[in-house]
Amino acid sequence: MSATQAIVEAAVTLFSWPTIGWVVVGIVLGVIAGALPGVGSAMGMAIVLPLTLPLGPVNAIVLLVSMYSGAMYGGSIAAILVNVPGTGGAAATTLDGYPMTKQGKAVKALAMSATASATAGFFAVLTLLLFSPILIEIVLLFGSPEFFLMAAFGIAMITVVVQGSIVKGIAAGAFGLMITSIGIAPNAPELRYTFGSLMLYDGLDFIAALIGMFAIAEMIKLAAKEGGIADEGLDMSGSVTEGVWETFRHPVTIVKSGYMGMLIGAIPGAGATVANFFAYGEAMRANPDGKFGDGEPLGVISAEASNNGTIGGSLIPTISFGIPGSGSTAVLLGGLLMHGLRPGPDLFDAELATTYTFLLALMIGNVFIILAGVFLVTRMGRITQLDTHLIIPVIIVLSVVGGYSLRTNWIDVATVLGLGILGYMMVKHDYSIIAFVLGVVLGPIAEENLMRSLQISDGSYAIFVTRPISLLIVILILLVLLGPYVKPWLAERRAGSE
Amino acid sequence: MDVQRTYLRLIDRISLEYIVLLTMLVSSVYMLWQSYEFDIGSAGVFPRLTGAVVLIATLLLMFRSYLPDPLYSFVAESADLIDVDDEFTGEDEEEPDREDRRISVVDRPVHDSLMVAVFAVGYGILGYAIGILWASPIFVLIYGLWFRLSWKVLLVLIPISLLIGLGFYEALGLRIDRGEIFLTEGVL
Repeated sequence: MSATQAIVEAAVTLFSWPTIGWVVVGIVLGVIAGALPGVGSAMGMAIVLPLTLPLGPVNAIVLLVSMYSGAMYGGSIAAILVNVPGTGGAAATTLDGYPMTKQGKAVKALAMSATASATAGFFAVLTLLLFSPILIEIVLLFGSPEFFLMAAFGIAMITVVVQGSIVKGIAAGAFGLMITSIGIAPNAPELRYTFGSLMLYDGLDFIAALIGMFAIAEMIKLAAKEGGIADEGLDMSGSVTEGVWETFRHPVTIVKSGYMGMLIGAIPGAGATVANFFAYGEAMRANPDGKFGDGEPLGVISAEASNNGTIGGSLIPTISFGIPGSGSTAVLLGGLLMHGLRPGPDLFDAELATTYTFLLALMIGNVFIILAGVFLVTRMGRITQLDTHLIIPVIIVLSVVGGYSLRTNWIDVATVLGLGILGYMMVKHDYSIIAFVLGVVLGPIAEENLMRSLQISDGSYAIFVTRPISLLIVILILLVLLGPYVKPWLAERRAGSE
Repeated sequence: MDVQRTYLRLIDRISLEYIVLLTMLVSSVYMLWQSYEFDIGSAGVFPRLTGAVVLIATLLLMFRSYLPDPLYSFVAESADLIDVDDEFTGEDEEEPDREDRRISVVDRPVHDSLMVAVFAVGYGILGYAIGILWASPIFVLIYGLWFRLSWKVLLVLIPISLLIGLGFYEALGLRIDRGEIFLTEGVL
């Protein structure tokens, strides 16, 4: 199937009922999840994941990507109204968004956020769509050794990019990979670590691990925070149209921030938070006369354009090589695998129309983001005032029921709760739960590709350094892991010799 | 008060990081050891590789304070590839201190996070015993009483918890109305 045929087929699927309806549902759920501080996109998507079981693969993924997109915008609502970013990707939005609220321009700031998010998100996905034929060529060059190494590269990148020591990240990632060994081996009829229990024959479910790590761990953490997220009354004043037009008066900032977000989003682990601050910093540099930190519209526009730009970027490693760059894309990858869609060549070959369907859904979803931003914005504000102790029991009930619904196996409930508690302890001590989750999601794929590679090479590990692309990835892994330590050492030596 | 003091002393002595490291250490040693016992040798390759990495990393982290300086900084210090200006991110750092100072935001003698974890595990066990559908409102009720939620709020949350269960029961045909110990035949 040619790319054009696939796009046409994708458009027909997307605009048919109920698929288009799932886009709207996903955007609305995403905006709500994003607007609730402490919930956010990854948790919202993880909780919804078991509910997508009765949906077909296309509708399920359309729902999930729309939630991802909606949550990215939703994060700005709490950031602007109550100075608490709903998601990490809206952290820089607080810097000018909240001062705008205090100046009586809350609605204008929210409209600006919706317009900038949607416009940048639209162009980032459009660019991804236009460049997808090149991406397809690259992906098709990859074989089993390269896919195994890409999994290792993804974990290596995340351990370096996220805060905390690299060794903690490696331990978390490898621990995630290790626990996927439980159950029947993928390449041999051998039962591993089941303790003779039938419940463990199929191993631990990665969706249960995602729910535990993102929902339960976060709820345990949230419990220690003071009751209400926002106690003060909301001043919903300002003009929607003014906000929309103000945004369009700065096309360069939108495009620059959006593409900056897209590039940073493509780096596993970097994600929306980093992009947010990078774009904000660049807007400050390019506009020295702006009143940044004091309600400067460009601050909101750059921050919000960048975080929705990361969506397009983060999908590149996720769908091409199966490396999710963030918690949300890890859940998205979980959704793809749960519905039988494997990242890599399949998504660009037999499933090309499906891939284009959810890329188009992301593009169209941006229109709904603007509509939500313009028409629902005054009502959305109330969400941010929900007490955390109202959210926690509901999320825990959803997580436990959702975990049980995966396979009606009590091991999944134990996984949700056990890994949730472990995840809380890991977060408390800077062990990357993203690296852990990545390990859990990538484990089966990594093992399958490792064993296939060793079969091809008659058991020789040289296969990972004798193929040009493999060798390149090995070098990249070494650079990523050793770079942060070698660079200062080299600089010191250079300074010493001078 | 003695119980309270004992509890606080106990909590002070327990290091959550050591629990994480111990979990990783024990499971990696067990998985490594077991991987040599498999009938089909190739099935042990992946757990052996990952187990070895976990074991080495865990031991490095456990004994990091005894490591010589260059190795210590490799193991213990952050090496962020992409730095975000501290001027922007500094605000997050203050919060844990404030949280840690107070045991509970609702003036209970036990840490809130610990109670949520205990309630969640209890909910899981009760769900196993009598069915998740019936355990959910009990969990919400106990949670609400502990965290001093008003009766009005509880009267909203309890039906919501039941509705979530019923939603899954209807949509996915999930038999969460029966337990593994009691009500094994189901109620609905």
